[in-house]
Amino acid sequence: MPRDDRTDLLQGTLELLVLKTISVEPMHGWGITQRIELISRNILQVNQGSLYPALERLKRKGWIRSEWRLTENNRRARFYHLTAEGRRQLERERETWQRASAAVNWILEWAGGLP
Amino acid sequence: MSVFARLWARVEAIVRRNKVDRETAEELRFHLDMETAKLEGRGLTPVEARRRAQLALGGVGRTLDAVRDERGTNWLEHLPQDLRYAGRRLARSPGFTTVAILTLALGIGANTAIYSVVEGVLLRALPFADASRLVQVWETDRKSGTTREPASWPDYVDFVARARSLDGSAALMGSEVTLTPSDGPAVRISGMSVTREFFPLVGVTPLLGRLFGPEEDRPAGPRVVVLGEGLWRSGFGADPGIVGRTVRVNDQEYQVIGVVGHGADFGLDQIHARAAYHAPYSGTGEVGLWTPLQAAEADFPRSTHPFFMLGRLARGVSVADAQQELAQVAQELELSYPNSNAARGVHVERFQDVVFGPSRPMMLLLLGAVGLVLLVACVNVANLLLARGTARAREIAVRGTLGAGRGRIAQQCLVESVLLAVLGGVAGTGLAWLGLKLLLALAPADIPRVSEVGINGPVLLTTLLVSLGVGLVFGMVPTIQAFHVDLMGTIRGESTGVSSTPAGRRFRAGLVVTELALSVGLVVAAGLLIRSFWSVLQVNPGYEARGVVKAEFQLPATRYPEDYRIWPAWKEVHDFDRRLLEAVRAIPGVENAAIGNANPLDAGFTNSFTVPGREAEARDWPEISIRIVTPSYFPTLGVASISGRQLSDGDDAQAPMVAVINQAAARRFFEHQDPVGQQIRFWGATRQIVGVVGDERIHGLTLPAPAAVYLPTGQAPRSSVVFARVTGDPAAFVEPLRRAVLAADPGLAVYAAEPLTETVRESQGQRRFAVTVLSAFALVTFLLALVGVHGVISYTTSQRTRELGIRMALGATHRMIAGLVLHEGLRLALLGTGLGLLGAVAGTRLLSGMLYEVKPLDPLTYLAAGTLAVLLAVVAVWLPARRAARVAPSACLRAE
Repeated sequence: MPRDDRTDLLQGTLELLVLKTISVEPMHGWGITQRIELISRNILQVNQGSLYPALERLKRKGWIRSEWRLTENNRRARFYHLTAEGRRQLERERETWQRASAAVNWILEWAGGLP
Repeated sequence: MSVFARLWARVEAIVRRNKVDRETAEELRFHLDMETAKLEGRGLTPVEARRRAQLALGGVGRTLDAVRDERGTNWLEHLPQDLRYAGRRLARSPGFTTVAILTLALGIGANTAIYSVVEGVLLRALPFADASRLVQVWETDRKSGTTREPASWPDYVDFVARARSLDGSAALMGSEVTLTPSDGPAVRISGMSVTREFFPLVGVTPLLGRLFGPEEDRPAGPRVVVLGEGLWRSGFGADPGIVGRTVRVNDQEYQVIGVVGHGADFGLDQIHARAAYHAPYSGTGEVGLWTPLQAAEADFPRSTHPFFMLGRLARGVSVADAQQELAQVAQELELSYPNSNAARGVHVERFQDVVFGPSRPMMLLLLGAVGLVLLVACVNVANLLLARGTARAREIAVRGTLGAGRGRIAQQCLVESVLLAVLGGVAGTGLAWLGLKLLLALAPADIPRVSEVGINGPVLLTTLLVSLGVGLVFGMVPTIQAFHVDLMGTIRGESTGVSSTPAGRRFRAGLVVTELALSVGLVVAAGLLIRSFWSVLQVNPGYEARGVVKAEFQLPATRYPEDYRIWPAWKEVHDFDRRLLEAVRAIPGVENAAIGNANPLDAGFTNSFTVPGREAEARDWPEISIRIVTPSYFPTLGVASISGRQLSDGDDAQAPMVAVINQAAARRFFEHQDPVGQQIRFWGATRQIVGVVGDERIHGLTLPAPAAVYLPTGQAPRSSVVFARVTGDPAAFVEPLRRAVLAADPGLAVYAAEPLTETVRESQGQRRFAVTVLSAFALVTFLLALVGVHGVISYTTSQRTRELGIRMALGATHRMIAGLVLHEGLRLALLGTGLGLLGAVAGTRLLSGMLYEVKPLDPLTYLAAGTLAVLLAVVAVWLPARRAARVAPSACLRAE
């Protein structure tokens, strides 16, 4: 029973973006959405409803961990950070992504004939 | 994160799910607050900002649910709801529910019953310490080819002294003893004489008092006895002050020094039964009286082999190591004592193998068979669920379109089937309780510790696990089916679900073929065992058990002195024999009476012998079975006279010594010669062979008769069985026979008084047990399979109503329609039967050890099982075929 095709499609990408975002510094869920939108100059909109299940999934796979900390405004928030395994996973996914996107670009720029 | 940490996170998520949920909720609230604040900063009103923030997140509740799904605890949240729902669904179709639960109860119950026997007998820890290191040290005899003989006392002493591979050992010998209570008649009790090392070796400690010490276990030591718990309770009212009192055993006073608990005699019965020449010393229950062995070479020379040797392997020593070392010792003994030890070796065998060896294959066979019963029951229930699945497709489609995920729907299907299976398990436990009573009533007494079998915690736990497993397995079928429901088509009423598609039909047909095949396999196995049993019953054992009654007793040496200086002129024994025969012959209806030293199903004992003039040759001869009988034995038992004369009343202590041999002995030792007139020598006496008689199968119905020599009681006094050939019902003569023995000597304990046919019957106890239980399983499985065939054909026929109606409308006759349905059923029946027979070809190899005069590939059995299966399957298909043919075409066309 398909639930939401769009999330399914973006799932892998969302995980990659989350891993990359918190690889710089530990961050809470809302912060992650804001950071992705900011860095992508608002091109990428994170579906907030699928962010938290994705975080739970990454946690279960052992790639990230969470802890409760205070924000600059003195509010309790759950911060996520990468584990060593998560860092390795980020590298793997980055390579996969770059190879795939390069391939897609070649095809899009292909004007006929063999290279 | 390590696997363990991940697992822990999982467990924590389940156990502390409230806390985890609260934290997630707090996290989401924080998110909402931040998002709201951001939107407010862009100039929205607080209410509007909140609304938009919530919209973006998709609702706290839904997100919380999605997070929980990721965490994998959601199934637990839904479980109570699903259980209630499944319960309601089952209650709504009581017919289906009853049939399914009963079928499962049958399968699970049969498994529980058999498993409780296997658990109690094979799986439970042995009552002995270091049981895995205990070994039985047998002597072997290359001359006779025996591999399981007891040891002689001097051999035992030498083995113990020289063996480094054993760090403990004990010798023991079972006997039947007579206990004379101060009030009441004498009773026969199982006795066991053991060296003082025995109890410490197996780790048995006394319940009361103490065990044997060195001052007691020495030749001519004091008469002391340790009671078994059973006898202590039944015979002495569990008297706590029993230690120090005396009891009368074999007409002598013994002082009680201690009591040992149940289980102290574990396996000893089986050891005796396994010995090549010895029948079970009792087989009638727990050892009641333990005495110190007090053996000395003077009483037990190297040439007699009465003692069973138990050893404990030293740490790190394998059975093969011990075998090698002890074989070396045996070789040394052969060189040192060629007269008694020539051709003698050792055979080291694990104690557990000795005890369980004979019954393990049968247990495993029954366990395997009962597993097939359960499998077929599951297939039947899966089939029922499939048929229901069609009706259910619409409901699943509705739930699916309303947003239920695959996981949720699967969980609901599984919860329902597991609930069904657990209900079946509960009902099955009730059935198992009844079935176990039946099983234990049928079970032969020679299965080790069968009396301890019961439905206990481990058995119930296994039943629960089996039920859950069964529920999950057959629940997979409707679950997978649910995944294939075409949502929109079903809701519009265009499709009736997967089981009416060609693929669904094939799947159901596959299930039916499978269960038919399994049941045909079981029927073949049962058929082979039944044929074997029949062959055993057809065996001519060399004696005629029908019309014979027997009773056994032991003459105490106190009143029947064994004075070897005047042997065989033991007046007291001869007088007793005369009195007894007179008393028995005086019973109205008794045609003939005889006395012997063993009944025809008792292997008795053997002795080495020579033929004067052939001493060199005789050194390589196996020992000969010695049977001591009154001359009336042969006509009373119906043993044929082959040549020469039989024994006569004139062959008494004063007359020349004579003997009669059986045909096996004549063939083995007097090939191409007439044995009559030749001589045979043992026990320091030479006897003339005066006749040859037919072979009695004294090693059991299925084993050929060994060479045997018959001596007249007048020339070799030793009486312990009385036989009477009677007219009328032998059972009516049991009591008169017992009274006749007591008339000859009121102080004797009379036991094993029964018609000889009963003794024969009991000797086949394991075979009868296996045949009966396996046949019952085969029958049940086969009936279940037929129900399955009938159900599937009925169902597919009803699914084809429209098609059949069109065919009829186009001119097909009733006969053609019936033929169409029959054809489909026959195809399944042939396929299932064929596969079952093929499976049996592969599987019945495992049976070969339990078959007698029937090959595992016996064509008759396969033909009969195959024919029966196809015929009955056709009958099962006949009903739906007839129904299909009778339906009016118009009704068919309106049906959908």
